[in-house]
Amino acid sequence: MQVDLNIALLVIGMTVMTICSRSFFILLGERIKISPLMLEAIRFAPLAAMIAILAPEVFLPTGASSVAQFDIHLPNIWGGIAALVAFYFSRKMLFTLVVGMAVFTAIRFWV
Amino acid sequence: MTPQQKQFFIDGFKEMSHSGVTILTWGFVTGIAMAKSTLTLHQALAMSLLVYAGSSQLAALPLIAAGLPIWMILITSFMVNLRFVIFSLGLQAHFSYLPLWRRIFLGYYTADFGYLLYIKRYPKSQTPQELNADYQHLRLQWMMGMQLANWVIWQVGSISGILLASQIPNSWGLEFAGSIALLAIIVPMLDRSAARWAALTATIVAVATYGIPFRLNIVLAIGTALIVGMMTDKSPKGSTP
Repeated sequence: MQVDLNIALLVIGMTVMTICSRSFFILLGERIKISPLMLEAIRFAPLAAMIAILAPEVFLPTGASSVAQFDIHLPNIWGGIAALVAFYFSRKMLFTLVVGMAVFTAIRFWV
Repeated sequence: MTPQQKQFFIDGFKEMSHSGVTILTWGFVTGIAMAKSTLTLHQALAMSLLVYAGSSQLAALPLIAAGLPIWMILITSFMVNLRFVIFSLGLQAHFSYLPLWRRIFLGYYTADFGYLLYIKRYPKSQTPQELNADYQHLRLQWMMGMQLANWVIWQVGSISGILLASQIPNSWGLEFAGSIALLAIIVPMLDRSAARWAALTATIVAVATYGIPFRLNIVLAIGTALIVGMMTDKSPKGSTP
């Protein structure tokens, strides 16, 4: 890719993608009526979306290209589990970060 | 702004600020990733301020480095953002009364947490009568307060990350902190069994299909999770998440 102009175009293009996706159905205004069944169905969408983004980062190595690279010794997995347990019992964000990062780092360097 | 509108705006700002550490961490990690990529300082800043979609930015970075054509990066960007299309479905009836330009801005500034918190507080859109009575549009004020907090906290995190990246060695594995931060948002949502089934499904599908093009694994994971969520949900219709 040729540098500057192309990156500028890309940034503008990605901004348009953000606007298009986030406003998609809102743009239609009063022209559409969304069925209650549909609204019912998308109840778990925010939860599923965040998990879909998070899960590969926990269960696969950085820069992985497929599930074949799954490895139970991965520090991400154990750091993730530690963070999950820490948050479940403490409900404190900073404490969770510290515990998760500590386990993650410990496994990376000493195991 | 009337005093009541101001109150709702400030309440919205505070509500979003409760997730401040998570947003800040994610922003910081995204900023570092941008600064350590092939982007220049100005390009990274422009991307942070304009694109304003962390997951789409993170997905684009390796593609930019690999020199892929712009259209492929843009498709990937949209695919990663498809979840927002689903969210916009949920918000449509709430804000259809606004003029077009305001709806565009409302959409643009509503990211994951904004949607999540809004729909939790206001699961149902207002009837025409309720809307008439609510002439101050207090829900909109609350939403805008949240959006401002989200934008400011995100940009502070992201720009700090861009500027401090050179001081932070790769060996720290700081990007993992972003993943941990998301846990704090996800765990409270697992409050009933249907949610846990949906979450388990999303996890398995998102990981198992990770290699497919354009990050379509996200859409697949959401789609299957919604189906499983519907099938396992025993609560009466119309109840809130």
